[in-house]
Amino acid sequence: MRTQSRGGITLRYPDALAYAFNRVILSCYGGTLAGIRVTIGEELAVLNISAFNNACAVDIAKSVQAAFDVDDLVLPNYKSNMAKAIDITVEALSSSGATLQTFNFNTFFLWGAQKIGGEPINCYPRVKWFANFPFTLPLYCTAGMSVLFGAGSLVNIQDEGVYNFDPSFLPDEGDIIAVYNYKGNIELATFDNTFDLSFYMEEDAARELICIIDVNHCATEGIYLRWVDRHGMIRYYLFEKGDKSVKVANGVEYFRDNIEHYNALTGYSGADGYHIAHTREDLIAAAAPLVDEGTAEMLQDLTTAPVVDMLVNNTWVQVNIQSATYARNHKDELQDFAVVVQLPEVIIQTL
Amino acid sequence: MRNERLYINGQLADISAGTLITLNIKSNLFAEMGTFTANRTYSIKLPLTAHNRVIFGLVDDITAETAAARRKHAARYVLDDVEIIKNGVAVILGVSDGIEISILWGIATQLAALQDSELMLNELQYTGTVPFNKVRQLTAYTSARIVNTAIYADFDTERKKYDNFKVTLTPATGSVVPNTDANDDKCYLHPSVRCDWLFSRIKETTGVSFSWDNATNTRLRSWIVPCITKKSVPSSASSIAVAPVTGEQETGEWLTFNALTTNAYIERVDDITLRVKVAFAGTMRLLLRGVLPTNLGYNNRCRDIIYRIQVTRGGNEEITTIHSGITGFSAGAVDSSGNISLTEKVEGLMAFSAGDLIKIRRQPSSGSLSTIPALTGGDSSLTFYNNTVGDEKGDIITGLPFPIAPNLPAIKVLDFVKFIATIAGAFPLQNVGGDSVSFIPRAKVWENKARASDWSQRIIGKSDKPRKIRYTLGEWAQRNNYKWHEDSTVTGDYNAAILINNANLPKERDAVVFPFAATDGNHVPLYTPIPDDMETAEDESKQPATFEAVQPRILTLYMRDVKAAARFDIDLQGVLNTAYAEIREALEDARVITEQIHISAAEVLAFDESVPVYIGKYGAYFAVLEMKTSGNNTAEVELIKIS
Repeated sequence: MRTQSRGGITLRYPDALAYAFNRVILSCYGGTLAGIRVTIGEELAVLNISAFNNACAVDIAKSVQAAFDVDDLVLPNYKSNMAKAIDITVEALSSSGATLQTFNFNTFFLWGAQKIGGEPINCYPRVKWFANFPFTLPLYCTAGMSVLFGAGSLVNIQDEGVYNFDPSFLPDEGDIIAVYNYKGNIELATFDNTFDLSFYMEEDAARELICIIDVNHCATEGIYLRWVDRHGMIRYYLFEKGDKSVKVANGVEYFRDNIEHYNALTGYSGADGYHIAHTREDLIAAAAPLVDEGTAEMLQDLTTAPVVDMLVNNTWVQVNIQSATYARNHKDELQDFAVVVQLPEVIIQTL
Repeated sequence: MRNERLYINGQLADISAGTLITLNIKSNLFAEMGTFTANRTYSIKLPLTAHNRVIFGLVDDITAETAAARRKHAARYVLDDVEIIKNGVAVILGVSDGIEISILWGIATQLAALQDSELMLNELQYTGTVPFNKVRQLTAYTSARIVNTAIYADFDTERKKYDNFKVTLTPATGSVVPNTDANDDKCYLHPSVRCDWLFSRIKETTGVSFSWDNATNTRLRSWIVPCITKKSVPSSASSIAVAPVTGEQETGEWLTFNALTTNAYIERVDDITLRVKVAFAGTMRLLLRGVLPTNLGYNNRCRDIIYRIQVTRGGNEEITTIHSGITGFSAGAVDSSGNISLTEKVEGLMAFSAGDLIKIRRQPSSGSLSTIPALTGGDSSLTFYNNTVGDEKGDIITGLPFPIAPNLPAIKVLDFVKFIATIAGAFPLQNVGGDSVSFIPRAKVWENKARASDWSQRIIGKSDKPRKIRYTLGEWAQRNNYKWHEDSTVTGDYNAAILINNANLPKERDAVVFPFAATDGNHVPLYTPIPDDMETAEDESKQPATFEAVQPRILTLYMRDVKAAARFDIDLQGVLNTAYAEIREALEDARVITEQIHISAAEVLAFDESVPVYIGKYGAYFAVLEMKTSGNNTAEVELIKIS
C-alpha cells in the first residue's frame, strides 16, 4: 500500500501493481474529511463514499474489473488485454461538498488474483513449449526492461504490460531456453546454446532469470488446450487423449394422440408418449502423464479457468472442463494429472 | 424457547414454540400525510389453551356473548426481559388452530382513539365565549400571542368583487393594506384562536398531546384559525331568580323578581319589571315552587290559573297571553301542617326585541276569583334559553356571547394535526412513551448524521453487495401536488408541488388536499353588506350584512398599530422547497437496500428512527425505513441511502 498525505488528509492506496480480483482498497482519513469521490479511468466509474468520524474506506475491485473488456480476453495479442494501467483520482470532500484535496495515482492491474500469502507475478519457473503447436509465452514486463531469450534474442520493452511472446522471439533450436531480465547489451559470442547452460558465456551485464522453457519438438498429437490462468495469462498444454464417452439424456416426453393411427401390430399405439428430444454431452478424458508438482500446479489453473479453448483443425474451439476433485498423493514425485473435457454441445433436433 | 412474555389486558398469555412474534417497526420519515403507520407485529398465533381462551373472552366460541372480538385489548410484550411493547393495542384477527392477533404500538396507541372517534375541532370541550359586538374590539398584539382564550385579530370580512381588493398578495413581506371603508362596521369580525391554543384544547379533550420542534412551536403561536361560522349553542341560558311569592296573591298582582346575577339578556328594572337587553328568540321557562295549605281546595282552582306575560314594546303596551294553564304540575307529599308542596311549570317559545319590558302574573282564566292561592316558600326561577330548543341553525345575535368551540371549523382533529405536520415538514416518531406524539422535522434526520451510529460491524453480510436493492419508494410520483381546499371565494392560486426527477415514478398524483383553504391576503369574505342605497336607519336589532360561511381558513398574526391583525402568509411552495428538500433529493436517486443485522432486544427498544446509520462497507449513511425482528437477535432492515 502506498500513502500520500497532503493538507492533513492521508490516502492509502494500492501499490503500483495490483490484481483486479483481489481487494483493491482505498482508505482516506484525516482533517475534516466528510467523503471522497473516486474516479476510475476516464469516468469509467465515479463512486461517492461518505466518511464516518473523518475516515472512510472503499473497495474498488468491482469497478476496476469493469474496466476490462472481457469480450477479447483470450486473444494472445502481443500486448495482452488482460492487464492494463488505470488512472484513479480521489477527491477528498468536506461536508459542504467542497474539495479539500485531490490525489492522483496510477496502478497497473492484472486481470486475476493472487493467493493468500502472495505469489510472484511470473510465477511458474518452468514453462513447457510444444513446438508443433501454437504457443505464446506470457511475461509481465516493466517499462524499459529488456528480455533476453536464450543467447541472442533481446527484446526491449517500452511500456509496462503483460506481453505474449510468440515463437518468433524464441530461438529455433534447443531443448531448454532460458529467459532473462537482461540489463546490458548483447555481445557477440562464440558459444551458442547448442549445449546446455553450463557452457554459456558470461557477459558483463547483470541478468536475472525469469523462467526456463522446456521445448518439446516431437509431440504432434493429443488434446491441445489453452486457458487463462489465475493471473490473467494465457497458458497452453498438450494432453494425451483418453477415453471418450457420450452422455445422452432424455429430453421432453410428449404424449401424442395417435388414436387415428392406432395399429396393434406396428405401434404408434393410442396415447403412448415417446421421447422426442435428446441431449448429448460428449466427454473426453485428457491426461498429462507423470508431471511434477510445479507443472501440476500450473495445470490446476486449467480446471478453474473461465475460458478454455481446444485446438481442433488449427482453430480454437471453446470447451468446458468438468468439475471434479483433483487429488495428488504425497508420496510420488511424478503423478498423472487428468481432466475430463466436455466438448461443445452437439445440437440434436427435436420434434 | 425464546425468552419472551406477552401480556394481554394485564394477564400473561400462553405462547407455544410455534408462536412467532415478528415485530415490524416502521419509520414515517418518507410517509405521506394520511399514511402515517404505526409499529405493528405480523399475525401472532397464540395456542388455544384454556387460559388464553379466558383472556380473550372465549372468543372462539361462537355462541358466547363476548365483546372481545369487537374491542381493542391492551398488550405488553417483553423480550429477553426488555419490555419492547409498553402500550400496545392488540386486535383479534381470527381464530384458526390458534388465536391470531396483531399488536399495534408506537403512534398507534395515541392516534387510534382519535382515528376511531373522528373527533372534530368543533367538538372540542370548551365552554368559553367572547363578546360579539358590532364595533370591532381588537386584541392587543402582545397579549394576542399569549392569552389562553380566543382573540380578535383584524382581517377583512367583507365579501366584495375582486377589483375592490386593496391587499397586496405577497405573503412573506406582509404588506397588506387593510380595507377601511364605511362597510367595515357592518361586516362583523369573528374571533380567532391560535393553533397552540387548539392543541391545548385537544390535549384537554382527548388526553393526547402533540409536541413539535421549536421552529414549529413558534409558528403555532402565530397561526390562527378564525371562527367562520356563528352558531349559537342551544343550551346557553341565562336565568334569573324569581322571588318567592308570599301570602295570597291578588288577582292581577305581578310576580316579583329578585336581584339578577350577571345576565346577558335580561336586566331588572324594578321589583316587577324586567327589560330585555338584546333581541333573541328563545324559550322561557318559569318554575314556581312552593307549598300550599291543602284546606284551600287548590285542586279545583289550579285548572283555572293562567299565566300572563305582559310585554311592553316600544312604549306600547302589548299584552300577550303566552299560556293558558300550567304546562307542568307536580305535587309532593302533605307535610305535618297539612301543606302540600307544588311545582308549577310554564314553558314556551317567545321572541323578544331589545328594550322589551316584561311583567308576569298569574290570574284566573275567567270568572271572578278574586284571589289565587299563592305558593309560599320554595325556590322559583325564571329561565330564558336564547335559542329554539333543538334547532341548531340559530345564529348568534350581535351583542350576545360568541361561543368558540362550536364555531371552530368542522375539521377532524387528525386532519388538523396532519396539516400542521405537512406544513412543518415533520413526521411522528414511534416510540415516545405515554400520551404524547412527538413530531420532528424531516430535515432533522439529515442533521443527525453527526450523531449517526456505526452499523458497519452489525451487518450480516452475504456478499459485498446488499441482499436487495430497489430504486423507488412509496407512492411518490414525479409531480406531487399539495393543494389547498377548494373555495370559490379565493381567487389566487396558492397550490404547490414537489417535483422529483425520476422517470421510473408515476407521472403525477395529488399528494394531499388540505382541510384549510388558502386566503387572498387578509380577505375572509363572510359578510355581504347591504348596498348603500338600500340602507335604512341604524337599528341594533337588524343585522345589516348577510352572512355566508366560507371554507376553513388559517392566517398568521402580525402587529398593526399595537393591535393584532391577521393575514395569510403561508408560502406553500417555499415550505415544500425547504422542508422537503432532502426528502426530494433522496427520492430522486433513491437507493433502498435490504440487509440483515445483529440487534438485541434492548437495542430494539432503544431504536430511534431519527438517527441515521453508517455502513462502512457501502461508505454511506442510511436512514432506517423498516425493521422486522424475529427475536433471535437478528432483524431484517430496509434502509434508504441519504447523502
